Amino acid sequence: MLEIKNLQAQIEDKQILKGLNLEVKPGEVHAIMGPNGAGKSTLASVLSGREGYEVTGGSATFDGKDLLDLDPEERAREGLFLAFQYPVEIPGVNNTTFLKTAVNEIREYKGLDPMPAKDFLKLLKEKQALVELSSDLAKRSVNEGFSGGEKKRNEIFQMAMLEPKLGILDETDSGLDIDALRIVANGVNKLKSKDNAFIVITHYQRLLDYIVPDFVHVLHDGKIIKTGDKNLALELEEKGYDWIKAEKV
Amino acid sequence: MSTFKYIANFVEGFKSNDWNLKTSEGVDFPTRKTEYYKYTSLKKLSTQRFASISSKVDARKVFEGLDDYATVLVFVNGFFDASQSKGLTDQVSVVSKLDSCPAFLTSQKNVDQLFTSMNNRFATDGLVIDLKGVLKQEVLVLNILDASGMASFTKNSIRLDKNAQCSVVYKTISTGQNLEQFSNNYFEIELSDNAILWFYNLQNGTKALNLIEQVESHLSAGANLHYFCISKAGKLVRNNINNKITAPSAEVNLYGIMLGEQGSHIDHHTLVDHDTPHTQSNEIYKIINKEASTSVFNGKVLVRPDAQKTNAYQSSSAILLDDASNVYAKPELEIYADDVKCSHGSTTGQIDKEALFYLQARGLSKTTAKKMLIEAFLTEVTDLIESEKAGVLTSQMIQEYFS
Repeated sequence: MLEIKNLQAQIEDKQILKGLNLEVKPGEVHAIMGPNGAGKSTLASVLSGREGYEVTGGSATFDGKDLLDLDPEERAREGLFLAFQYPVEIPGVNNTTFLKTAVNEIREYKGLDPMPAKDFLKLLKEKQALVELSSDLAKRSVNEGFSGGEKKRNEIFQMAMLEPKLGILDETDSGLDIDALRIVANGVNKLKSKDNAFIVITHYQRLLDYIVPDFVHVLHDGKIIKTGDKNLALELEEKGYDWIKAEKV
Repeated sequence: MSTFKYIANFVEGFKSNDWNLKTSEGVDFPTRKTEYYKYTSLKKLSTQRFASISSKVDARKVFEGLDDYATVLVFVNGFFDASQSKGLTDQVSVVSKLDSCPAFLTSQKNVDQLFTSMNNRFATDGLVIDLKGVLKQEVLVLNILDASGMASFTKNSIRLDKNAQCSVVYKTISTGQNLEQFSNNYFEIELSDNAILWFYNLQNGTKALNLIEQVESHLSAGANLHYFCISKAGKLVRNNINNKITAPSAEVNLYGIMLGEQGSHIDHHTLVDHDTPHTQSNEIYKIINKEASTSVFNGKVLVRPDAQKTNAYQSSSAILLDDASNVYAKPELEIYADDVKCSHGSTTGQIDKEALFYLQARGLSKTTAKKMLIEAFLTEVTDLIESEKAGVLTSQMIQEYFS
């Protein structure tokens, strides 16, 4: 589904990704862990097409298409979803209207007719229940006045509505209390299928108690330096990152 | 009255004294050195000869939904068109051939201004509302401008008696795309105790329209003015909106949207004169500029020494969509009382890139996302439009701005 080969990227002349390789297949959950400054969020930004990042080498293909050649909206329409680390507050843009526009622009891209209003509302209710988001929040302006936990739940809610092939969760667990963490993780687990995949970027092992990964990658200095199964995360939690860095050297 | 014939150039016309303004009324021609015209050069007016031209236009063809209104007044090139108007009463009517009504003409204030003086001299017809009680039906006024080189002048008066209420939708429409035209409209608004007026001024110009309007309002105790004005395009659009509050508990609300495009110059000058204690004014202006256009907002609040407990709020915010566009925002507070609440804020910026990316990351095209963010930016003002019809017309103009 996603193939990243020797990806190199920089921001304002500072090299962040230095030859990253990663392959994600349908049905898989990949966790990416690593110390601060390793390049985790840069990876998420480059994959989703955020401005200001320059790809200096390597490739990323998504279902055979050159991902890096697509506009952010085309990536989203192809089925890539980024759950933001810091969801943006957009006063005046209604959550529901925004989602309806998004759903229908994606459908148009796929050559489908707009979703009938009735079906849309049904879907909206169903997915709200999934992430335990009150209908009151869904009607408000996008993220405006939401608490940290509500913003993250709203991200998962949007992901549920858009049903992407690949979901990238950029530190979705940061700033969440235990209950919110459980709700967010439950949401992801319910969305999981043999046809889609997730990349979970996190600092802590805690989230991985709830979303069990098939692979755990350690990102350090712009490269994946170790890959293991879920036990690697437990080991990291216990020992920190230094032993891997030392091993690498 | 003299008929406005032509003049090749406004400055020369003024100087040659063809209009007989200078000597009789002591008017001076404003230049950029005149503080009141610091950001708006009248040189833009000088490229074309203008003349008073009468014309026939089918109002239905230029305004959809005419039949939704019970009261319609159609003016074409400043002349009242009775055949296309309907619902007139003794309270909602017109004044024609202003030369036969000297009293009406000379009631104008601020004749020291060039354009009010010109209006004073050349106005042909105008709307007259002299209302007692509550008018439930909305009044639609169409200011249709037809033919190139056309100059029109109207003088309008709205007087609401005690407790009277009404809502007016005033729409300016140019029939052609690039016809150079000059339209000058004067509005006198007199609100007696507890009267409420909603005035929706929709200025849908083309890129060659020169539109100069002046509002002079006066509010008595408990009166309420809701003046909304949206200006789109126009070569030179200048609105002077002057308000005087002389009795307690009166409230002036001024809301505006400026949509600059294709090198247009749009200028809104407001003045709220608080001359008595316990009065209120609110001003909210939203400005968008693209395609090397320029917008000006100059908002002056004057709180006179006796006007204690005045509550005056003013904000203007602008988004520039390209580097070639300009915004000049100038709040002016002149406060002589010591127990007042006055605030003003002014911002100019670009579209929030992070928000734009957020929407794109959800599959919205850049164009759709931008449009959504701009509409969101305007909602602070559009939400205040109480008339459903005016709301729809405003929304149409915003949609046109994006197409």
